[in-house]
Amino acid sequence: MITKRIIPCLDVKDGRVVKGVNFLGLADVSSPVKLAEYYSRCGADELVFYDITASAEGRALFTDILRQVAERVFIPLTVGGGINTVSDFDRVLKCGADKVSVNSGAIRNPNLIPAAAERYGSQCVVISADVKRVDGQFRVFAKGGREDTGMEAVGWIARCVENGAGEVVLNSIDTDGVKGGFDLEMLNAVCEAVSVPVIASGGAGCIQDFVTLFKALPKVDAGLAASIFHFGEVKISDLKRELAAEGINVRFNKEDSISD
Amino acid sequence: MMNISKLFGKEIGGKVIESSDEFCQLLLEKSFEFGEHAGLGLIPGEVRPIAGVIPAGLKIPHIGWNALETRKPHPIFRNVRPGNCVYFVHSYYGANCDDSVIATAEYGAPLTAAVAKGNVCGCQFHPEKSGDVGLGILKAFCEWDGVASC
Repeated sequence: MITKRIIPCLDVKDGRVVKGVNFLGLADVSSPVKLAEYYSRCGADELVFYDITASAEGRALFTDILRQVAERVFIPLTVGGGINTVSDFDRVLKCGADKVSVNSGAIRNPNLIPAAAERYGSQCVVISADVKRVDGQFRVFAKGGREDTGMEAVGWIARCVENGAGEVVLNSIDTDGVKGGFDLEMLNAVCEAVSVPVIASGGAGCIQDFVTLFKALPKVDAGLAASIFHFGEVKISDLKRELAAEGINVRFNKEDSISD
Repeated sequence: MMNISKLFGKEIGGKVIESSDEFCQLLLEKSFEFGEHAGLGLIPGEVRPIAGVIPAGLKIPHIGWNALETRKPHPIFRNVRPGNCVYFVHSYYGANCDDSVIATAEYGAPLTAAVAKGNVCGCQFHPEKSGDVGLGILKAFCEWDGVASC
C-alpha cells in the first residue's frame, strides 16, 4: 500500500535555508545540504527546495547547492522558485531535481505547464498554489503570496492539472505560519476537484495536526512543513511513529523496518 | 535512440538494470504510451496505462513510497527486507509479463515493480531515489554475477 509522505520544505535564499512566518520576517536556519542529509536520515520521504533568491548570483548559488544535495541525498527532490520557462525546468532537472514546482510562472504563462509536461512528463510537473480566502472565495495569489490574482483557486488548479500538472501542492496562506493545523476546508475542495496527488502545506504546528489531516482527508497524499521541522518542534521519526500508531500507513527507514 | 542502442550493445553481454519509466519500457516488447511503440523486447510484455487496472478514485500518477513485494527470489533483492518501501512515480506499468515479474507493489492492484529475465532486470521504481533500500538494491546489483536465477 502506498504510504503518506512527510515532506520538509526548505526555502533557500543566497545559499541558506530560511523560513518566513506568513511569508514575512525571514530567519536564517541552517545549511541546505546539512539539513537535507539530516532529514533523509530522519525518514523524510521527499524534500522540497524553494529558491526565493531574486538575483542571478543567488540563482547560481542555488543550482550549485542543488547539485551538492542531489549527490548526497537519495530521496526525491522537488524544486520550485523562479521557474518561468521550460529552460528553467531544464536547469534544475539537470542539477538533480526530480520534480519541478511552478507557481507565479504558471500564472504569468498558461503555456508553461503544458509545454513542460509534454517535454518532461506530467510526473515531474507540480503546480504549487498559494491560496487565500478573499470575499468568501478561494483566490490564487502570486509573487510568494503577496499579490491577489483575482482568479478562483479550485478551478484554476483543476485547469493546471488538465494541462499536465501531475501533482498539486496547496499552500493555504490563511493557515501558513499560524501553527493551528492544516486548512482542511481548502484542501477538501481541491481534493474533490483533481485526480492527481495533493500535498497539504501551511499550518502544521504539532504531530496531531498531521494525524487530523490524514484521518479527516484520506485523499491527501502528503503533508509538507518547514519551521516545525527546522526548529525541531516536531521530529519526523516521532511523527511517523505516531501516524503508524494511529493506523496511517507510513514508510520507515531501512533500520526501522519490520524484519523477517 | 542511437546512444541508447550503443549503451545496450555494450552492456548486454554482462548484465542490465534499468530503472523506471522510459527505460523499463524499453526492455519490454512494446509500449502504448503516446501511441504504440516497439521496445527492445528483452523481456516479454507490454507497457500499458495503470488506469486500466487500478480501481477508479486512486490517484494517477502513482507517486510515492510503496512496499516492495518480492514475487520471486532474485540476487538484486539480497538486501531487501519485508516491508521495505521504494519510490514510484509512473502512470504506465509492465503488463502481460507475469513470467518475468520478480516484484510488485499494491496500488489497488498488484502493479509490476521489477522484472528480470536472464542477465537483464528492470525496475519500475527509482532505486536511486529510494534511500537506503534503493542503495541496497543497486549494491546487490553491482555484486551480482549476472547469472540468471529465474
